[in-house]
Order: sequence, then C-alpha cells, then structure tokens
Amino acid sequence: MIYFLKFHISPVINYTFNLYHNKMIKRVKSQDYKIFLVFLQKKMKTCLQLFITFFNIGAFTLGGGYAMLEMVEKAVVDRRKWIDKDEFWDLITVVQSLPGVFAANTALYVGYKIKGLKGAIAACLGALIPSIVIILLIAIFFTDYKNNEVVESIFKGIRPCVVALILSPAIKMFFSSKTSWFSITLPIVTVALIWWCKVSPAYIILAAVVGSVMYAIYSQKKLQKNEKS
Amino acid sequence: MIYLQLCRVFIKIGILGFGGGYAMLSMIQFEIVEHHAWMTASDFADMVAISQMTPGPVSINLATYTGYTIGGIAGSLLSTFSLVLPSLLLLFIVLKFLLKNKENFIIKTTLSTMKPIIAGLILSAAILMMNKENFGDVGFGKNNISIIICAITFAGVYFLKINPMWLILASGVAGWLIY
Repeated sequence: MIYFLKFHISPVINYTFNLYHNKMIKRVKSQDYKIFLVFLQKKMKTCLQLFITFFNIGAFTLGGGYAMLEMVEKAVVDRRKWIDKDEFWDLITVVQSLPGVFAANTALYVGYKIKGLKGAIAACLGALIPSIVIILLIAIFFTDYKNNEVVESIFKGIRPCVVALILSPAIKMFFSSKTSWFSITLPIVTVALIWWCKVSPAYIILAAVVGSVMYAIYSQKKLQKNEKS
Repeated sequence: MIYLQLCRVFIKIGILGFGGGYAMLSMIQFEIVEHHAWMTASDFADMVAISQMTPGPVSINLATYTGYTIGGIAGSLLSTFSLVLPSLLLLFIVLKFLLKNKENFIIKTTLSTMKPIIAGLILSAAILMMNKENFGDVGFGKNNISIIICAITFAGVYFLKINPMWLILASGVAGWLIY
C-alpha cells in the first residue's frame, strides 16, 4: 500500500502541483500591476488594511453607527485579530460615552490603537469617504432616488435586518462584562428610562459616568481597607 | 458668510451630539429648519429618508446633503468635516489619557460598570427602531415577513457568526423579490 502511494500517486500529485504553480507565476508576471500592489501592501500594509477594512464597512453601514458595530467586531476581532474581545467592548464603552459621530470615533479609536496617528487617519478616511461620495452623487444626480420602487422594496427588506444587527452587539456587549444580579438590572433600567420616560441619552450617559466613577472610588477604598485589616 | 454659519452650526452639533445619529436628528432639525430656515420641514423629512437609505452614518449623510444644498460641494465638505473634527479631537485627548493609565484600578472599574449601561443604550436604540416605519404593519394574521427577516438575521449574526455584509445583501435581495 505504502509502496503504491510512494511510486504511483505522489508523482502525479507533484506533477499537477508543479503545473498549478507555474500557471500562478505566469499569471502574476502577465499583470505587472499586481507586483506593484504587492509592493504597496508590503510598504504600508497595516495602514492600507485599516483603510480597506473601514472603507468596506463604511460602504455597508445602513441605519446609523450602531449597525456598524457588528461589522467592526467581525473584521477587527475575529478576522484580523488586531484587538481582543474584552478590549474591544471597553473601547466601545468609551466611544459611546463621548459626543460626536459614532462611526468616525470608532474608526479613530481602532486605528490609533493599532498603528498610531497614521492608522487613525487611514481608518477615519476609510470610514467617511464612501458615505460622503455616495450621498454627494445622490444629491447631485439622483434627487428622485427616494421614489424609485425597486429601491423602496430593497430597503423594506434591509430595515428589519438592520434592527437585528443592532440587537446583536448590545447582547454581546452585555455578556462581555462581568454579569451579576446588579449588572442585569442596569440595562433594563436604561431601556425603561429611554423607552417609557423618553429621557435623552445625554443625561443617561452623564449619570452613568458620574455613578461609575463614584462606584469605582468606593470600591477602591473598600479594597484598601481590606488590605490594611 | 454662509460657509461660516455652516461651520458653526455643525461644530455645535458635533460637540453636543451624544448618543448617535438618531439622537442628533432633533438637534439638526432645530438648527436647519427652525433656527436658520435653510430648509422647509417637508424637505428635511425627504432628506432624512434619503440619508437613511444610503450607506454611511445618518448624521454624516445629513451634514453632507445640507451642505450641498446650501453651499455646493465646498459647503458639503466643510459641513461634514466641521461635524466630525471637534469630537475626533476630544476623543483623541481622552484616548491618550486612557491608554497611558490603562491599568489604573479606578478607570478599569469605571469602564466595567459603564458597560452594561451602554449596552442598554444600544438595546434601546434597537427597540426604538422596531416601529411601523421599519417593520411595516405586523401582527397576528398579517404580513409578518419583516419579523421573519429580523429573526433570521439575528440568528445568523449572533449564533452562526455570518458576515453582516452578506446578511444585508441577502435581505436586500429578499426585499426586492418579495415586495
């Protein structure tokens, strides 16, 4: 059996592999721009990857910055493994509690974390350029875009999908924190305040920051007391 | 001087705009429709519908569109960047401070306490979006396609970990075929 494998099968495999390999080399040689691309990628690999990643995400973000979270997590944590999971949700906490455009802020934070100022600029531009270009084109050429029936029906399908895309990161974020009985009540209270009492998110963020800092100082003092005794 | 005014309005919105695009919407409406009267209310409603239908953050789409209608392409770029830059600078300062003191006990505990609250904030955004505008007329014995799409997408994203871009494309095709 082993004899058969060694002398009959393996030459065939080798031959087909070589054929395939030669074909690949020829293909690359025939297209010079590919070599240029490889050179570019080596030169500023991470920045380019950041730009492309956020460009893709920016071109697919429908329905505001929240829906983008799921895609950013997928690209940055799962696929590229630039940031680990807990750190990512910490980062989202910070970005969420600051004012401004959420998508741009997330891009800046991720880019800065990975590649410093250069990375931050690359990621930000990547996230912003597609939406600016697309809306400008629509404003200039297709002012009737909204009343198109095909567009209307496509968006009827996409809107519920966007809601699910926002629901999922909220649940993931909750489970990435240490769950206790106290921490389960927090999101429920937040939802109740915003949904029924129509409190502005700004006040909730303010209250959250003040409350959390006070809780942190309190628990530090408690720790120090325990260490002394 | 329209450019200076555009700049000032969008810097103000960018600095005071907590909680994402939909929370900013009322502020943008106040500034553009009521305070400066650059647009009528129905024009603004049309513009919001268009910005929700195009890729990209809603607030940026709104800023670009408003800037274009008022000051041409230069106006659109100016208003977009004045919306984004101040908050980016603020974030940058906070970021430097945070990364320096990453292991500080107080900062760590603050972040981990805030996490569930922010999660609740995002959750409420999702719940607020489950309205007639996004789901259509649903209920017992009615057309429940949008609920089915939402459930399938959620399962795909949360349990099966499918790339959200494919899910958006698939639900777009589904909407095109069904409606």
